[in-house]
Amino acid sequence: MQPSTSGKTYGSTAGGEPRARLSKIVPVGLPLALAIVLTGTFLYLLVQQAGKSRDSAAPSLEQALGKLKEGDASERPPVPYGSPTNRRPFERPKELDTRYGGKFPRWDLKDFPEGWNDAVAQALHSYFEELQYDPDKPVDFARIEKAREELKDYLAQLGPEALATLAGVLQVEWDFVNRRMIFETIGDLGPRCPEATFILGDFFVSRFENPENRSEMLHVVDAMGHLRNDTSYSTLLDFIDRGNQNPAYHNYRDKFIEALGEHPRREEAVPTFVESLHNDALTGARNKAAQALGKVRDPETLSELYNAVERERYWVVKQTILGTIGKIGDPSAVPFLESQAHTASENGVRLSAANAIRRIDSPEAENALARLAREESNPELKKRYQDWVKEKAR
Amino acid sequence: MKQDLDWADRLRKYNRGLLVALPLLTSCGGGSSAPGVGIQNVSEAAPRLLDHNAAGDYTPYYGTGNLQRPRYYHEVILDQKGRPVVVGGTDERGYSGLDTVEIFDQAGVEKDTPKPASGAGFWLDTNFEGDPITLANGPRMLFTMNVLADGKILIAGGGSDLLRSKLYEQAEVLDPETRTVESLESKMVNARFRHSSIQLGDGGILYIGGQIAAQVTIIDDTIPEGQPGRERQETRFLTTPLCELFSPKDNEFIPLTFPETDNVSKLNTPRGRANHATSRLAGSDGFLNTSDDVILIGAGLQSFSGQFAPDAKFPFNVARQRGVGLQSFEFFDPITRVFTQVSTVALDQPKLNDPVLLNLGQFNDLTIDGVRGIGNMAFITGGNDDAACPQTWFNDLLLVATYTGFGPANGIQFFRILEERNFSHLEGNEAVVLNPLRFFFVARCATQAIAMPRSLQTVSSAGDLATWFFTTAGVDIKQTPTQCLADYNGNIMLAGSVWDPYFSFPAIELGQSARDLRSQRSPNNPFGVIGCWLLLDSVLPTTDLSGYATTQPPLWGRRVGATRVWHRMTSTAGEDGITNSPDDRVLLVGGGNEYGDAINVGGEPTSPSAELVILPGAPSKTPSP
Repeated sequence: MQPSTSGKTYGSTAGGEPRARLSKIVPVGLPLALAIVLTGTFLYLLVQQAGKSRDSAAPSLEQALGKLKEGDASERPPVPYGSPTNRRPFERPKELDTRYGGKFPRWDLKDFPEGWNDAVAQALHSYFEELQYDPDKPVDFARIEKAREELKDYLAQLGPEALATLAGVLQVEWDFVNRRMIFETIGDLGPRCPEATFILGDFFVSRFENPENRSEMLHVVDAMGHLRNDTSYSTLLDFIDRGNQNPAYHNYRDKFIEALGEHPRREEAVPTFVESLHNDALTGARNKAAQALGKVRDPETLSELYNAVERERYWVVKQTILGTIGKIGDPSAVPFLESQAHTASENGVRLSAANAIRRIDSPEAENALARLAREESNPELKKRYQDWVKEKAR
Repeated sequence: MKQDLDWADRLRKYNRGLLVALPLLTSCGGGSSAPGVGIQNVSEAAPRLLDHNAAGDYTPYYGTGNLQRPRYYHEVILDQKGRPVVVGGTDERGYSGLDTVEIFDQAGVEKDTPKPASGAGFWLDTNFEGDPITLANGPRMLFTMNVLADGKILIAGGGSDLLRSKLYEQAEVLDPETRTVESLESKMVNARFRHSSIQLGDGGILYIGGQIAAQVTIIDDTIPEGQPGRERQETRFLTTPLCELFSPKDNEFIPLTFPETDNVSKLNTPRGRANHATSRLAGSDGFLNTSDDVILIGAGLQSFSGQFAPDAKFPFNVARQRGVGLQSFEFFDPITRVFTQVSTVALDQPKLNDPVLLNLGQFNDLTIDGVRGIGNMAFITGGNDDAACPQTWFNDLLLVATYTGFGPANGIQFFRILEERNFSHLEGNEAVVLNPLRFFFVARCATQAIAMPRSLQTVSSAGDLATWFFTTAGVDIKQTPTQCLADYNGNIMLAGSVWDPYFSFPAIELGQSARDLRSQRSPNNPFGVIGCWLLLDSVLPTTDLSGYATTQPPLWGRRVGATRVWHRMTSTAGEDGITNSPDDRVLLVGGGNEYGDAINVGGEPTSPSAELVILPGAPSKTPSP
């Protein structure tokens, strides 16, 4: 116990008066004082657990806390402890103690799907067991890192024939980190295995409506973005469409659009992107739609993009649309961009418009940028434009 | 683009379908746009939020827009325009990290669109060209961030996970205007994590302590002498006393040396200090943020040396006998650049894992009765002892620095201010008085406490602005004879508390106003501040006990995300759009649903991943009595 300090001023400043008890001083404290006197448990708890009771003969707070620290458990009564939850992370996890028997005691496997491969399941089971925290074993981070790397390597070499097993394990594995590794593996199997889409899709559909699962669902959608097959293309379109009827789907629309933007058939999805860009109520969905169009880089979308800049009210989405126009790199966009760089009310939007001009490789773009560098009234933006002009000149 | 695809036709068809299916959706974003980059220190305007709903229920917590990537072990900072910027972290227990950056815009939801409970709030994750905002060097956690004079944000230290990965030598700079990140050419002198950083008067940034990586020789006793493998080199993460400075002028990191010499100035804790709390004190002039400020450093971890030092970046180093928790304080005098141990004040128990030191003068150098220098008072709270059952001890500590004018740092002296009779410094005291059989004091870890501005009636010279502290969430961990209990969402944990420096039980006991500081003034407590934890229970006592311990839990505040640990808290502008004003709100960002164990932290990310808190009196236009 550290010594008390000399700053203990309260108590000695009351002019030598005995310390009045709170309950004697304030009327509202009276019934409480009665409760204190009548309830021996209260005194017992306070003396034993927090330190000082309101009885001046009780040990000081520091003494009491020190006693707690010294750890004489026999003196501690059970603690009425607010409403403790059932999360007791310092105890052995219940899941670890729940063994289901059989070859895979970690998993509550009711049946084995068609195509189940015992060897794959056994390997996954072993890795997951090895990665599980066991308070009875010394912590060995080298072993954990090695096991994780080995597991990643093992998963990376699995082929489509492992899909049924992975799907089965996904349903019974209770550790979310392990499940994520399986999502990634299934996602990476996508280009070779159209059925992989349905495993991830089904997993999503069965869980996405619970907001608590949001983080995991984001990883599922990420994995769907890796599938890159025909089934994933249609599934992502379908999930985007379902958002029109179901707000819970709509809440993930930006992520579906982002995943679709990574798809090799993203050019076919331009109507969906444009539709979302113009009409989606969610800022994030419009933003990701504009971003996806920046991956497609189709000059035919320019008129839609100009239109969207004019209609869009949120400055960040405007920036993304302007960024997309810049990425398309068509010199015909320079007059529109220059107009935006002159007239947009938000500094950030003017900056993005000028940057889009910077991306376009044409004499018109160079001239426009030079004009902006001369005419911009905001000193910060002007400085940036001047730097860009110099950069282009080099 | 494929020739056979008439996407314009498809779009037209799709539009018609959409119009039938979604008559309620707006045709495009309506409402007003946020101003975007604009006036300094002016955040995006926020919708009005009250701490009571239309039915009169106490509702200080509002779920707001979800993070694009829910996370914990991240960091958050306000940029110069007052926008909360979230960087890095993890969403899978520290096994891997996140490299993404998100910026909170309270006006980022438009009229007639689906809204979170807060009415607005959008996490933007794209830069000024629409690309994802990502860190230049990859995922990062256990780093610090500071705003430089030009508005850019310096991100330094940390590593990509909590395992044994290399530490980042390279710092990065986030430009909030373009929302892009660039790697800095200059490397840190010592790559470090769990350090602290603080801006000095000359604009330089001081990096204090933390843990550094070192190769040590491990002797494996299980292998006979002379046999291969008995001795091997392994990485250990030792706490360090070494400090360094970042010079914005030269854009480089340099070792901290004594003035005009090459002699290195180190922490006055021999094996260093990590995971500590740091705060500025006002210095002898009584004004905070001036050249004579001193830096107070307290608590944290001191590792063992050599092979016994921590072998990864996970917490639980005390439990695993890789180090000891510190109870001591030391201070840094920026003039002499000397670290000096504080001999008169120490914690009752160690505090690790996010303890915080808060300055009572952050928003006003004057007490409510006009005495200058309250910036020399600090309050340390939060954290735990990092033992196998990492207990959260009730040892919040209020201290004051006074100056004799003679000796180093103007003869600085530290005093602790105790209030034992009424448990003012124990969170939950109201609840315990209310029902001692049902409630017990709480202490939190894996959360933060945050200094917030408050409108309070003061003498005319003091400007009606005061500082108080707010905390919520985290976990209260307690060893009982039979088990290690963790309370994440008991009623007190859900409600949250404020620590009001201007609520004095001793003054009340003397029949005076709780706001009257005079009776408690003494040479060792020159400001007379005692302070008290008060529950967010819908009634906040002001000048007397009329609102003290009068409500039952149904009337108390309730967080939306019931379990939230390892999150971050920041202030954010309220309706007036101006940061550091009394209507500021608290933003809880991220968090996970489990404290963790020796090889896991955080569990799964909490949902909703962000919420706003409206503190008592914040929506009011008149100062609280």
